[in-house]
Amino acid sequence: MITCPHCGAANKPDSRFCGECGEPLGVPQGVTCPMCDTPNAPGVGVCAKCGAQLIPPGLSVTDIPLRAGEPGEGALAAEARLDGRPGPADDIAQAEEAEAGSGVAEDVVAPWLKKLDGFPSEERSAGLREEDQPKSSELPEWLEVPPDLEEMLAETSATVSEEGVAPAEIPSWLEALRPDEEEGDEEPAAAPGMAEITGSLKGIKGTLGIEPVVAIPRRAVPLPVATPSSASYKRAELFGAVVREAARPAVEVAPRRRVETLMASTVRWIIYLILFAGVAVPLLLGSRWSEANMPVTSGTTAMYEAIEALPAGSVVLISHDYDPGAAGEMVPQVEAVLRHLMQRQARLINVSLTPEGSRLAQQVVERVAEEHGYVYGVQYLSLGYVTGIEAAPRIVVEELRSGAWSGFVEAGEDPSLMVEFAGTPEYLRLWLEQVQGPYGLPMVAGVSATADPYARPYYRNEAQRQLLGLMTGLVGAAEYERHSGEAGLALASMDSQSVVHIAMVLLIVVGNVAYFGGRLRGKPS
Amino acid sequence: MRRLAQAISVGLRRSVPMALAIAIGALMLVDFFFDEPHINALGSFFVESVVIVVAFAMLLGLVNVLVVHFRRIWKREEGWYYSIALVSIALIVVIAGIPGADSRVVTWIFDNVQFPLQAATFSLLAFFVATAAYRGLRLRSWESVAFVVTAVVVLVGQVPVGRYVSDLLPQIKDWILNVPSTAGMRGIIIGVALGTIATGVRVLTGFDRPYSGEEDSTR
Repeated sequence: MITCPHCGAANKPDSRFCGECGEPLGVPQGVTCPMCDTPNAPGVGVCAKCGAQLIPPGLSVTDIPLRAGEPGEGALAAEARLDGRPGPADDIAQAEEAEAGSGVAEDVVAPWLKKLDGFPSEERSAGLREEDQPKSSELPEWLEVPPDLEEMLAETSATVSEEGVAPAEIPSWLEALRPDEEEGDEEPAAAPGMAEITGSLKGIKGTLGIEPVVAIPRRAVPLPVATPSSASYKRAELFGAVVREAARPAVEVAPRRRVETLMASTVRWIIYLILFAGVAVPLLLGSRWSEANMPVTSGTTAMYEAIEALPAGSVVLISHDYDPGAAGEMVPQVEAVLRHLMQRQARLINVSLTPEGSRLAQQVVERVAEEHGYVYGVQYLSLGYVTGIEAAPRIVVEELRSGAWSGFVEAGEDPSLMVEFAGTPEYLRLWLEQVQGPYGLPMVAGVSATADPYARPYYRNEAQRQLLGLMTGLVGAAEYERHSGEAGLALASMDSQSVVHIAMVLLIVVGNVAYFGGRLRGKPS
Repeated sequence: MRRLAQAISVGLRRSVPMALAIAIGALMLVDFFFDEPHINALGSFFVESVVIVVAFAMLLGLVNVLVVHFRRIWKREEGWYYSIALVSIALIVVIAGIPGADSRVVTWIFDNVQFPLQAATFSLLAFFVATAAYRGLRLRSWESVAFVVTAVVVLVGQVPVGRYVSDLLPQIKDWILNVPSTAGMRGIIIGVALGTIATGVRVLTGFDRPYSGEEDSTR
């Protein structure tokens, strides 16, 4: 693998250009570090890996001044190995000058050496304790500098330059002493000129290593002395007492007294009886008070008028989408509207999106048709249950328009009115979305009381007129009967409904009186 | 080679249903908004197909219910005897309905079993509501006061007797139903419509794939 000298990315051995940054690779164009053999880019003065000073191509080690902090003997040995020549003696003097700090810039010092600045060195220690050191005159003989040292060095240098020296072989124990920056304190990414090779800082040089930020623990800060209050002591004592207390058996809920149970049951039965009596008594008495006093709301009136405006022989599509649960309020609605439609001589097509609605509708339609002498297949049709849920309304209208029942409806003839009886709001929504909107069919609806809030916005939409009329629940059916002057099951039920509504209001009042009375006596509700 | 075939298989399993859903969804959208005979005819064809698919889905649902309850009976799981009732009644109705949905047995079952049971269950609601009116509608806070007062006004104003309590009651009842109630419901309907549009756009663009059968089809 070849390491890119620019970005540090690893490349295949035969690569000529870096796959990461695109810079040319090629050792011949760069400089190999004399210390770690790392190829470096041309023009770089310091090794990207170990920070050692590099020797530009064409220059020898003698052409380069020795840097301050250079590991003297090892560096010299390495330089000797590189160009095969030992360094001249005057280089040593230059190195000594450099070490003294004269004429050498701070930035040429190797980073791993910079770190040592803050630590006491042997030299500094020696300098500091210079007075304590033995004087040169007191040195043993073998340590004393010979007076002819310079001459000896000059001779040695001359001899070496004349004979030439083979590259020095560094013994393994000495090699092991070479400062290894990767295993040392120095963060590789923090080396000058070394670029980040991964992460969001990729390609950026001179970044701060992550270790100094996260690895240095914060200095311990003494906590403030806590001074708990007396209340805290009391709470702590209480907590301790609770913890030390022996386990007690589970709290037994006091059994409800028999009288209370009997009272609760009796009240429930009284409510049921009131409700039953409110329904049954007016029916049994045959009360007809509401027939003369039933108010008619605007929605029911609008529905009546929409049907009243139909010309004789108009085709009306009726959908019965309710189940037996809502039949109590839906069937009277259907009866009232069917009677009116048959009086208007409309041709009726009955469908249902629910299987139960189909059966319920069949019973009502057949009964009312018999009353009015309507003939099946001529004046009315019952298509029964149509499957398909959301698709069903559109299928029905498409079939009608395509002339599928050509004996009853001419091809291309749209129904004059759509009447939807919906026990739940979902079916009303289906017809509004799939038929009323796309085909612009005039539509009225009779809905259960629970579906009324959902249907009302469509009726109140006067700009679009999505629902021309709206009839709600059993009350709506009674209003329709009252408006059409044909009293039926709904009007007959209105007295019962009035009594039950009043009974419900009284129950609310009595319940609140009991509640507030209990609170005044201090009893829970 | 096998890996390539597997990758193609997985890709097809995802991309083909997604392409179909997007194409047919877009077609139905165009069919809804534009009056072009060919596209309208194609749209009608797909709508008719939905009816057939739904019918088969119901059949599949019935088979699934029967299989699940047969298994419960076979393994004697808890409440297995209820499963016997369900399976036997379902089979009776299915067999009775073979001549047609209007057969005498089916109509008899509907008129004498299903209708009374459903109507009676719903009727019990009146008794529960009456008990709740006594025990639950308490004036505990200002919100509950507003709730109870509204309930009383609508209850009394809805029936003919309300006019005799006060002429204002039916008018206040109409105002409550036409203004605050309708406004709230209109907001809900508009919110649902916006949500439906957002869901439609997500399905059309392939972000949601409810048809894929994956637990989390959102990618």
